Amino acid sequence: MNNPVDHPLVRAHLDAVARGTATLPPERRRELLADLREHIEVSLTEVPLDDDAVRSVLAQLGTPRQIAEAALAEEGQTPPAPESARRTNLTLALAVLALPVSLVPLAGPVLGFAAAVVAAVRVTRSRQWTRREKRQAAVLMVSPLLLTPAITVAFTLFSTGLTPSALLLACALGFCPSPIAALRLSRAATRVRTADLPA
Amino acid sequence: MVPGIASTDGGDEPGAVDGPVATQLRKGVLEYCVLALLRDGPRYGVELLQELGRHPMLATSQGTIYPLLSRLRRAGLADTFLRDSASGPSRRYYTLTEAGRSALAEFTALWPAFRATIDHVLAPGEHP
Repeated sequence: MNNPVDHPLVRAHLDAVARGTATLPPERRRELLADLREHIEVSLTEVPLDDDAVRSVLAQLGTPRQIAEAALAEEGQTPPAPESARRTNLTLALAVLALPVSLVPLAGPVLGFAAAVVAAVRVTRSRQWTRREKRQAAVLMVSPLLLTPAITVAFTLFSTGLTPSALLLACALGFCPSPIAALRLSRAATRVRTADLPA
Repeated sequence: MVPGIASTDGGDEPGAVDGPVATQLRKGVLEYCVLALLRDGPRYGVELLQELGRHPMLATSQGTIYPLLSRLRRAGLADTFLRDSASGPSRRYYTLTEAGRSALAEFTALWPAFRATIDHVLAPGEHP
């Protein structure tokens, strides 16, 4: 093997650092990984390249978790705390269902509002998402409140008028951003859950 | 010699330099120690970390220093350049900037009084 950074142990170590620093600005993350690669390369040019030498260099480098935490701390971030898939799915289901449920006659608006409030509290309190991820999700989750009436008005003005099917279509289109937001949050949560860095 | 570490090498309690107290103490001073190690000329990453590793009280996982070095560079206290090496890949050297030099001078000037204050507060007896 010519290049030490292609060694399987090194790749696994760097991949784990990469997973643990997914919330860093991309440029910062690239720089860190390049620094670590160079460090490993330079450290291993002076010794014969075998598994023991690689292990010793990686041990001195620190665990992926230590490195990731130091890098996040420099950016003022705390390491995310994963939550169970069940808990996450419940939170996201409440967030997505709030709008359609509120259309149900009678109890709908109250139930929908309650679901929205509970979902908002659960997302705000969670430490598995960064502030940025939460902010983006919040914008997407709230946007149907403006988007749906806008589409409805557009139909009324430029189309055949507001038929029941047009209203249904307006809702279907207008509600789109909330499942998109939920999908993004779900992906981010899965990433945190599966990063599972060796301590 | 780096200010403030003269008498801290070779802690008598095994593992003490890895404890939470040592970690907490390191946080504030490590970047100035890094600046101090660059005072006499540029050093590449591995060289800098080996030098730092000679002082057990400062030693920390090497990989955790790179984010710190990146911040020093972005803050304009240190600069980097690439230089070819006779063996192996070209190396990124770190060097002090003027701002880095004055930050180090400020720390060096402040440290004796800081150390004396802590010693005074820690000493048993009355503190008027």
